[in-house]
Order: sequence, then C-alpha cells, then structure tokens
Amino acid sequence: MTASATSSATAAAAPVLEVAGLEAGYARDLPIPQAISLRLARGSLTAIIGPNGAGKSTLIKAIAGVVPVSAGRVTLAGRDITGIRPDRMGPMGLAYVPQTDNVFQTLTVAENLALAPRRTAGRAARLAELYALFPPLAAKKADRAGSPSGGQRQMLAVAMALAQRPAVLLMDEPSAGLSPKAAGAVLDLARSLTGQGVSVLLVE
Amino acid sequence: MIQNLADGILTGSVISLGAIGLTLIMHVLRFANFSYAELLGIGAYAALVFDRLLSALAPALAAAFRPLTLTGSLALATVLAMALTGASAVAIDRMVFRRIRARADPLSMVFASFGVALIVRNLITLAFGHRAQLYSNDIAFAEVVSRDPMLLIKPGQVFVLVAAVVLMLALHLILTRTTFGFALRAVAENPTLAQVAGVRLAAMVTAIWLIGGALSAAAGVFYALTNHLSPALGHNFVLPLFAATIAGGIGSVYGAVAGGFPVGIASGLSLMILPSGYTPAMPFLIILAVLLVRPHGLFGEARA
Repeated sequence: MTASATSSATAAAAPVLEVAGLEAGYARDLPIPQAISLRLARGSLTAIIGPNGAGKSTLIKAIAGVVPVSAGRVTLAGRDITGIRPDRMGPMGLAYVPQTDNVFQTLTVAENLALAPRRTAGRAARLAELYALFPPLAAKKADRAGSPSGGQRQMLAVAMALAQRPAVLLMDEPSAGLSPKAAGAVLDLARSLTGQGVSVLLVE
Repeated sequence: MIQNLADGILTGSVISLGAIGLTLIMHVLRFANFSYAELLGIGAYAALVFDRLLSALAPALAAAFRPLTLTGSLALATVLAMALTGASAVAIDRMVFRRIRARADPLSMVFASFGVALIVRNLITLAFGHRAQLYSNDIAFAEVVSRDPMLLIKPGQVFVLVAAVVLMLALHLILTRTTFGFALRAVAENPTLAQVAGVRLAAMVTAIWLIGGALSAAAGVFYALTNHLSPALGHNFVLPLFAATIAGGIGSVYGAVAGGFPVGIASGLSLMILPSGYTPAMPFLIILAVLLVRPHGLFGEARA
C-alpha cells in the first residue's frame, strides 16, 4: 500500500495529524504500508478505502503505536509521536478504536468507560457527558460489555476512545459486522464528532 | 471421608491463593512459569526469619493468640514476608524474565523458569538446610468436631481457611471496586486493548508480580502453619498450582480460586482409595477432566 492524501481544502492550515513516508509491519524487513503520507485538518473526516490485505488497518495501528513503525514520521499537532507507546497516545490527544475485540467483555459497560479517563481532568463530568451522548450505554451500565448488540459494543468502543478527549480519532472498519442501521448510526456519529473539532480517520 | 474433605478444602485454599498470580502471569506474559511456586517457599522462609528477628527484638510479640499457635511476631512477619516476596518476584522478573522476553520467544522463558526454580530452591536449601522446620514447637491439639463421622480440626486450620478467604475477598473488592482493579482485569483479558485504553502495561505487570508474590507468600505461610516447612515446599505445589490455573481458565482470577478448591479436595479424597504416593497424579486427572469438557477451563475465554 502506497499513497499520499490530504484530507480537505483546509489542509493549507497546519494539520492536526501528519504522516510522512510511513512504513510499518510486524516484521522489521517486511513493511506492509509503504511510503504513506497524509495530512488531517482539524475537524475533518477522512476515509481510507481499499481491498482486504492492502494494509489499511496496519497503517492506523502504526499511527496509534500498536504496530512498530520502521520508517517515516507521525506528528500530532506538530509533536512527533512516532513509535510512542499506545497508552501515552490518549493523553496526547489521539485515540484508536480497533476493528474487533474493542471492548473488555468481562468488564461491565461502566467499568470499561471508567478505564479510559483515569488520568483525564474532570473525570466524573466527562463520564456524565458520555452517558448523555450515548443513552443506551447509560441504561446498560451494570451489564457485561460482551452482552450488548454489536452496534452498542461499537458505541461503547467509540465512547471509550472519546473519554480521552481526543483531537484525532482513528477508527478501524467501524461498520464491520454491524447491521446497516447500526453501521449508519456509527458513521453518523463519526460525522457529528467532526462538528466538535475532532478529526476522524477511518478505514473501510 | 469428611476428614479428607476438610483437609482437602484447607489445601485448596492454599492452592487458590498461590494460583491467582500464576494465572495472571501466564495470561499476560504468555509463558508457563515453572518457578512461580518457589515464591511460596520464599515467603514461608522469609516469614520464619522475620518471626525469629521480631521475637528476639520484642519478646512480648512471641506470645501466641490462643488457641492458635500463631504469635504476634509471626503475624507481623507474614506481612513483611508478603512485601519481601512481592519485591522478590519483581526482582526476578527484572533480572531474568524481562530481559528474555525483550529478545526471545516465550519458550525460552519457560526454560529459564526451570532454571530460576532450581536456583531459588537451592539457595533456600543452602541458607536453611534440608531439615524440616516449624514456626512453632507448641503442639496444637485438634478439636473433635464430630465423632460419627470422625472429624478432627485444629484451630490453626480454621484460621488459615478464614484468612485465605479474607485475602481473596480483599482482592475481589480491589478488582471490582477500583479503577486499578478494572485495569488489572483489562490487562488480563486483552493486554493490547488495555494499552490502547491508556493502561500502562509495564506498571500492571509489576503490580501482577507484586500481588502474585504477596499472595504466594501468604499461601506458603498458611501451609507451613499447619505443616512443616522444607525447601521442597514450592516444588510440591508446582503441579497443584498449574492444575488450578488451567482448570480454572488461564487469565481468570476467579477461575484460579474456583480451580484451587477442587484440586485440593480431589487430592484429599484420593487418599481414601489410593496410596498417598499416587496423590500427586490427581492434579493431572483434574486438568484432563476439565479440559475435555471446557477447553478454556471453568472461567476461561478464548484469548483475544
């Protein structure tokens, strides 16, 4: 996978996320995405579309620090975050929603949500905001996260990411395995987040 | 039979305590740590040393809490031993396992764990000798709880069972009421996702070693309170701990607790029909029986 992309007409302004010549993979000498460059404007929605196996998921995992980067640079609001541990990404303003296994199924909905904002200022207020934003989660606080429907699990995964108050949200195939209605709701949510100044990068 | 059952429950409580840390380590670090049971030995002997020191420094502490043979100095020594064993577990990880997992595969860690077990056991033997030792030379007579069927129980056994259950309840409260507990359970379920959710994996691994070491020390002391203490203590618990961990489901704290009691009880009951030399085979039979019915163990899930 090789590409170069700019998220919108506003890219002339300083991008919130910039990826330059990124190469990453699970083996040092076998990069999957190669020479990828992209710029995300603040409050933009960018989608990366391609066939299975093209390396889309590996790309956003590498940006999120989950897969090792072998070449290139990732900057978030001008700060180099290349290869930083995933647990440090949230406080820096970057959150990632994996495609599968994106909630802790043995924890309750409330416990899942309580995990993310541990180091966030105004923790209780943030949790209240999230429950207001996602009323179905408030109704299932005490349920195991493995029990809700696929759409609600995806909602919880997004809420966990938003709990970290990210400037950039990376979503790996957020509609995969969902009903058309649930997939539409998740994509509407992604679109609405841009109105709050969050830049969304998703792969499908 | 009821006597064997009671003895089995007591042994099961010790196994459950010891298996809690092992299940987390096996799941998070993805290796079968055959040196883990030696932490019981480290804890039990550390308590012995602290007990002697405290008794010498403050003779008033050497008085026993009747009808138990437990003394104030041994109670304090147990707490100190838990801290020291937790620190020892972290130190062993830093000196051996962390270095290996940075450069090699989990199989290398398994082989290294055999080496660590040998080193620890031999260091204990070097320091304390082969001779069996006792925390207290006082003879604690068993109380006749029932004559038909005959059931004899020592006060110390009741104390051990209650103390083990209290420790498990304390851990349960930490796991279910604190964000630290949520993070620990999250790491046990899916370490990668836990990192993405902001959990610092290295800190949690250290916490797991500390908690596992402390609980193993308690298990070692509790066992030695009602039995003798020898350098083979840890070695004798290797199979029961693995049986409890695997039968309960690797990664599940509650599975380790639930797995420990059947292993202890089955070992106790087996004495009714088998010569004592066959008792060590019981953990294997339990592992096989559980895995045939539930391949991921009683509380285990397919790994994320």
